[in-house]
Amino acid sequence: MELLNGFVTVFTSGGIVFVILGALLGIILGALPGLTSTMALAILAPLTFGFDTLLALCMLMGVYIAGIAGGAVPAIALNMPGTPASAATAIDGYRLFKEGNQSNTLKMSFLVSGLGVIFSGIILVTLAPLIAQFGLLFSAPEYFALGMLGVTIIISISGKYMIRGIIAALIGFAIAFIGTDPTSGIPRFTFGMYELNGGISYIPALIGLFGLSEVFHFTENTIKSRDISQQQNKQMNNWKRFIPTFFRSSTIGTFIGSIPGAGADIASWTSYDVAQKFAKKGDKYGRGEMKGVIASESANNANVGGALIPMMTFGIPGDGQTAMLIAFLLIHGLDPGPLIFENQSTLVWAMFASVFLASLLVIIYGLSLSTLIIKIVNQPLMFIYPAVIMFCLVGAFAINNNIFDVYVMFCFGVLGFLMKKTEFPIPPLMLALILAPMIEKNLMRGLLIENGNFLMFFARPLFLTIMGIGIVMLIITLVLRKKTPQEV
Amino acid sequence: MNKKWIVLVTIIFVSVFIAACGSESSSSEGNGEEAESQGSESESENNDSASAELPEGDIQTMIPVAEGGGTDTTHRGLADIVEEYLDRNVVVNNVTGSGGSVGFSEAANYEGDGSHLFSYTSEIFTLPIYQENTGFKPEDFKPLLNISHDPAAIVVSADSEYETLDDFIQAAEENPGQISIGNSGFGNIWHLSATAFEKEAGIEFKQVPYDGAAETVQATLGGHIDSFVASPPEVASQVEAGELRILATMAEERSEHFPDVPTLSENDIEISIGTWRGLGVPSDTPNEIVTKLEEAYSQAINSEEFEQFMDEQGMNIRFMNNEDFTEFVENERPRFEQLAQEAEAQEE
Repeated sequence: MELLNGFVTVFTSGGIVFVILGALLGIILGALPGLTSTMALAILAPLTFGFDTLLALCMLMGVYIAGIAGGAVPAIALNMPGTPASAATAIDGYRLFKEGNQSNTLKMSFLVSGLGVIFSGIILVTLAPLIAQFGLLFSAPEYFALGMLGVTIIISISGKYMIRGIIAALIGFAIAFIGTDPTSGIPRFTFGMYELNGGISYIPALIGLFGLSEVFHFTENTIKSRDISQQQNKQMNNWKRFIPTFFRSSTIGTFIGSIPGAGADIASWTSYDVAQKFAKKGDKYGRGEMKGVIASESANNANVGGALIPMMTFGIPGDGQTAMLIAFLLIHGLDPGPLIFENQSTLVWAMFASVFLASLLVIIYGLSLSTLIIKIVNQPLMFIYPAVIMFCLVGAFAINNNIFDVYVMFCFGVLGFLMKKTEFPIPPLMLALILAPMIEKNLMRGLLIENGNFLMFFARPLFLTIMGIGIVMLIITLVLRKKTPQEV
Repeated sequence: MNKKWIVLVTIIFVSVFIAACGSESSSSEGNGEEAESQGSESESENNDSASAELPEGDIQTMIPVAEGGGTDTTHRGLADIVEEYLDRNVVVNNVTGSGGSVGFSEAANYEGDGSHLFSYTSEIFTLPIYQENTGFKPEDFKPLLNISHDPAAIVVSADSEYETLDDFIQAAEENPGQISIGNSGFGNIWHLSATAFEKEAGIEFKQVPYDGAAETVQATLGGHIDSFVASPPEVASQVEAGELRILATMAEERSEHFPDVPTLSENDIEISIGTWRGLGVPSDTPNEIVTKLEEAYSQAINSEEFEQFMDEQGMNIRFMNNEDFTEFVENERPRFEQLAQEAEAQEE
C-alpha cells in the first residue's frame, strides 16, 4: 500500500521524468568502457543539488541502477568490463557475442539486470528489517571468511590452466601488498613513491587489465575485422532452463549486497561460481554459456536492493554507490538511517518506487538500444579502439582526479597484454586485488579484537558456516575439474 | 601494417593530451570554463606579487578526500555561497589517494596567486609523520581561515552496559587493554583523539582501526566492539533513533545538538580535540591576496545562508579569521605531531 503511494508520488510530482532521464544517462555512462555506475553518480549528482529533493532522488536512483546494468555492455561487446562487478559477465558474455549471439546476449543481460533489481527490490520492501539484522552479525572474522570463500573461486575462473590461474592470483595478492599497512599505518613496498602510500587503486588497474590490454592485443594481431558467424546459438530456444539460475543468482546478489562492505563484485563472482557448481550436462561455462551471463548480471544488479537495506535501516552504506547516495541525501538535508522511515516516509517509498521504475526502464532501454549498440561496436575496430583508449584514460583519471592512476592503468595494460600473450587468465588476478585488502584488514582486526588468538574465530558459528561453504565449494570445483577435461 | 601505426599514434597523442591537461581538469560543479582558468596563469605571471587583484577566472578549491564526507560537504556548501562575495566561480576538486598525501602534494605545486585554495586540516601535520616520503611539507602551506569544528565523541551502543562515562572509565581501569574502541582508520583524527583520551585519563584501550565511521557504527551495533570515536554529526541519526549513545564529547562546551551529553573536561579530563576544517593557501601567497580572500570568505561563512546549510548538516561553524587561525594552528601543530608519534610508537 505504501509502495503504491510511492508510485503515485513519483508520477504526480513529475519524478518519473527524472527517473527516465537518470536511467538513460546512467545506461550511457555505464556503457562507456572505463566509466562506472559510481562515477556516473559522482558526475551527475552535483547537477542535482539545485533540484527538489524528491526529483533529485528519482534521478539518482535511475543513474545508479541503469549505470550498473550498462556496465555489462563493454564487458560483453568488447571484453572490457568497466567495473569489477561485470568482469564475471565478460567470461561467457564476450564469447557468446563473438559467436554471433550479439543481440540475444545483450538483451538477455539487460533483461536479467532489470529483473534482478526487481527481485531484490521486492525483498527490500518486504524483508528489509530482518535481513538488516543478518548483516549486523558479520564481524571481522566473518568478513575474513567471506574473503577466503572468494579465494576458492579463483580455481573455477582459471579456465584451462589451473596452475597459471593460481600464479595470476598470487601476483594479484603481491600487488595488493603495496600501500600502507592497515593496522600499523606503515607504508610498505612503495619504493619511496608517496603516490603508492594508498596502494594500487583498483579501478585504474581493472581498466588497464581488461581495457587497454585488449587494445594492445589487437594492435599486435592487426585483426582486419572480427569474424562474426551469424549462426544462432540454440541456447535461447529453451528459456525455461534459465529460471533456476536467475533466482539463485538474484538471491545470492541480494544477500551479499545486504552485508555492508561486500559489494556487487563479490556478489557476481560468487554467483558465477555457484552457477558453475550447479551446471547441467551440456552447459559450457567459460566457453560461452548464457547462464554465466545471467548468473553474473542478475547477481550484480540484485545487489542494489541488498545494498539499500543497511543504508535505509542503519544509515550504513552497502557498497560504493550507496555511500555516495548517503552523502547526497545528507546534502539535501536528509538523514538516511533508522528514523528516515518515520520522518520522510513519502520520500522513502517514492525512492523505492523509483527503484522498480528504473529497473523496468533498464529492460525497455536495453531491448530497444541493443541494435544501436551492436551497430556501434560492429564498426571497424580501428575506429572503436582509439575511442576506447580515450575512455580508458578519462576513466582512470576521473576516479581520483589523480594523474598517477593513469600511469597505473598503463602498467596494468602492459601486464594484461603480457598475460594474454602467455595465456595467463586475468580474472584471478583481479579477484585477488579485490579480496586481498578485505582478507588482510579483517584478519588483523579480528586478531586485535580476540587478543591475537586465531582459535577464537572457530568459536563463531557464522565464521564456521562460511568457511564450511568455502571448503565444500572448493572440493566440488576440484572434483568437477577432474571429471570434465577442460577444452579450449 | 598501416592500422597498427594509426592506433599507436593515437595512443601516444591521446596520452600526451591527457597528461598535459591533467593538472588543469576538474570534476564537478560544472560551470567552470577550462579556457579561462588557463588564461589566468599567464596573467598572474605578468603582475606577480605587486598587485592585490585576484587573477581572472575560476577559483579552485582542492579537497584531498573523497566526495561525500564532512570535509567535502562543508567545502561544497561554502563554495556555492562564496561565489557571490568573490564574484568568481568556485570549483571544488577532489584529488584523493594515500590518506590525503596525493592531494596535498599536488597543492604543494600550486602558484601562490590566490587562484588555488585547498582544505587545511590537521593531516597536514600528521601525514608526514606516518609517511616519510610525502610530496609536501607543512611549510609549503599557510592557513587562511577556519570554517568549522567538530569535537570527538565517545559512542557506545544503546544497550551497552556502560551507562555513563564513569562506568566506561572504571571498566577500562579494571581491564586495561580489554575494552575495545573503534576508530575510522590508523592515524585518523579519531584514533589520535582516543590516544589523547588514554593518555590524559591514564587508561588503556584496545584500539581497533576500521575504514570510516560507517564501519565503526556497524561493528558497534552488531556488538563486535564496545565503543568507538566519531564526531556527533556522524552518529546523530542513530543516536536520535535510540540505537547509539554518546557518553561524552571532547569539546570545551556541550554541544547545542546534544545538550545532555557531558564533556570530558566536566569529568576533570582536560582534553579538547576534534576535527577542524579550514582553508589554506600556498605559503608564497602575498598578504594582499590573503586579505582579499579572507574578506570574501568571512562574509560567506558568517552569512545566514551558510549557517542554515551547516545547521541542516548538524555541523558546527567555528569561524576564525586569518590571525586567529594562524595562531590556533601554531598551537595545534606540536600537539598533533606528538600524538601522531605516540600513536605510531604504540603500534611498534
